[in-house]
Amino acid sequence: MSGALLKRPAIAVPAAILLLIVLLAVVGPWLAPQPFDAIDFDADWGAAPSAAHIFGTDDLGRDLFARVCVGGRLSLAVGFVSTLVSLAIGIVWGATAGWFGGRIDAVMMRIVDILYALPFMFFVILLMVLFGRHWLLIFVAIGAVSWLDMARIVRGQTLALRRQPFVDAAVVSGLGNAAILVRHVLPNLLGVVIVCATLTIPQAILVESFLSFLGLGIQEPATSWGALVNDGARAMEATPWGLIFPAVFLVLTLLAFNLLGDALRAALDEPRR
Amino acid sequence: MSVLSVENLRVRHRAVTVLDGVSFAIAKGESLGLVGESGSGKSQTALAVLGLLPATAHIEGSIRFEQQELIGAGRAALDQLRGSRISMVFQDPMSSLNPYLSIGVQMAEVLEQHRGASRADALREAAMMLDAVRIADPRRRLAQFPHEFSGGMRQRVLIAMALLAKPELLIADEPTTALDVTVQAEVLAVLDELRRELGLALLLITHDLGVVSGHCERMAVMYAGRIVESGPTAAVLANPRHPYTAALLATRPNLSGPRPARLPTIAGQPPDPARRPPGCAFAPRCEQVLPQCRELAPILRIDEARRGRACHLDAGPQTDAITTSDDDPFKRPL
Repeated sequence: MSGALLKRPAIAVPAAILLLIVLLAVVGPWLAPQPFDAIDFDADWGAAPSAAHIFGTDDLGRDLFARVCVGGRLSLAVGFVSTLVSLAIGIVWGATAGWFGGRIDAVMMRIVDILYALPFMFFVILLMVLFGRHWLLIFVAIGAVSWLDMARIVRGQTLALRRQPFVDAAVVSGLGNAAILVRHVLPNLLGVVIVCATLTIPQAILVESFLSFLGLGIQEPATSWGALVNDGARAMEATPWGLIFPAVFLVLTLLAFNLLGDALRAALDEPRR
Repeated sequence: MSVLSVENLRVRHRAVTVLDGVSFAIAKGESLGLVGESGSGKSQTALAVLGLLPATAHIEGSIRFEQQELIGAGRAALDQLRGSRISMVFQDPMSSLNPYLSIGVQMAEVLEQHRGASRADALREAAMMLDAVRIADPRRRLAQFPHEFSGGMRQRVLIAMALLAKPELLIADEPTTALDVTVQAEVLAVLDELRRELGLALLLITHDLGVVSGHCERMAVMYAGRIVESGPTAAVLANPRHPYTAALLATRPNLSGPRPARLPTIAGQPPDPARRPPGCAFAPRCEQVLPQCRELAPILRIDEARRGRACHLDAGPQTDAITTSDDDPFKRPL
């Protein structure tokens, strides 16, 4: 199945772009002329792109290419890790609520509603105040919020699946709840979950960028795309490359994930009818 | 000895009574056709036997499978029986198979669950069963997904799946309704053949009198949640004793005689289950209605020829809707 999917340009192109970006984020810092947090005293502060610094330098004279790559590591890690967290919690929570229904469902989904109603920024600031600023908190904060959507989607899908005749057929063939959930419900959730996951990753990246933009996220000298955009925006008249390069990477990544999610949804919807 | 015996089954969803004292029994190797129009309670009966009614349904009476009471039996007890000793074929072959699993995996599952068979053994038996329902090249077919099969083939796959564990009782809920007539004949022929081979008891639910007359030894006619007439299929069809059965048979087009301008119909509508009349549910539409029909629900009385009828016509006095003596006709097999 995956081989056939990769032959479609709508899936292959964004997938290839994402692969390139991930690759660059991983190996990029080794290719850079200096570490991301080292200052090049020979270069100007905020130097324009040149052979020595292909993306130029920031207002402290640090190599922007190295910083974009390192920032990408964090942004992508936030995207993947918080999506994994949201997948793990969201699927278990949503499938349980949807399958058992009734009172269990009501209680579980009310908990989700309450968490939804909690203002996100308030929640993040509370965490920062309680535990101090730490990059791990960004993962916790985003993961804690993004599973809510996943749980709701999975629950709705499970509710619909539970009324499918093939689930009744599985009950009639004497399968227990666990076996039916794992073998008949989960595979049918996969399409929706994959699509939802590809849309959760850019969301998490965006939320992290937003937090960093507000100064609540990653702390200097560590950086992320959001933090770089924040720095770049402050000096965009004088040194536009400080804004353009991280912004291009950020936008390209978000776009690729969204396109991939859309194409996967279309592809997983069409056969088996 | 009956494989399945249902006695005085009542099912209520909130205030709506959908089954009102249904009783029947099926012996080993016997096939019973349960006929009735939509909403008469046929499928509710099947769901009740399999324990598939929603948890909110109120169920009374007794459903015994080989002496084991199924009403109130726990999920674990039911799971022991379902799929291995009682199987079901559903109405819609299109949605009764999981679209994301291959046919082989879905079939093997039944044997792995009930016999702890290995995947390879289970697949071998599944292939044999596919062969038995006349699906060519079963080995290759097992690796395919439901969307690669036609409707008639899927229904045969479902029958193969239901019979895989060699059950004693098969419940088929309108197994051929979704299929065209030629495919229907094939599927029913396969079902008949396997039933004789395995000595299977069959409860065939249908609204098609033609299917019943060709494939069931006995039949029971349901109307508004009650069985109104039962007996050997040939006898009931040749000489219906309940006005509803008679009216139902009169609505069938006669293929040999002259064509009438309009097919006869039964005037009126079946009662709304939420507002069932106090007496016989068919009374408002019955042409031979008696005064007591509107007050007292007739009980199903079964005679020596195993023919049952729930009607006041020429039936002698009936004092109560339900008798409680040991001679309760509900307790006698049909």
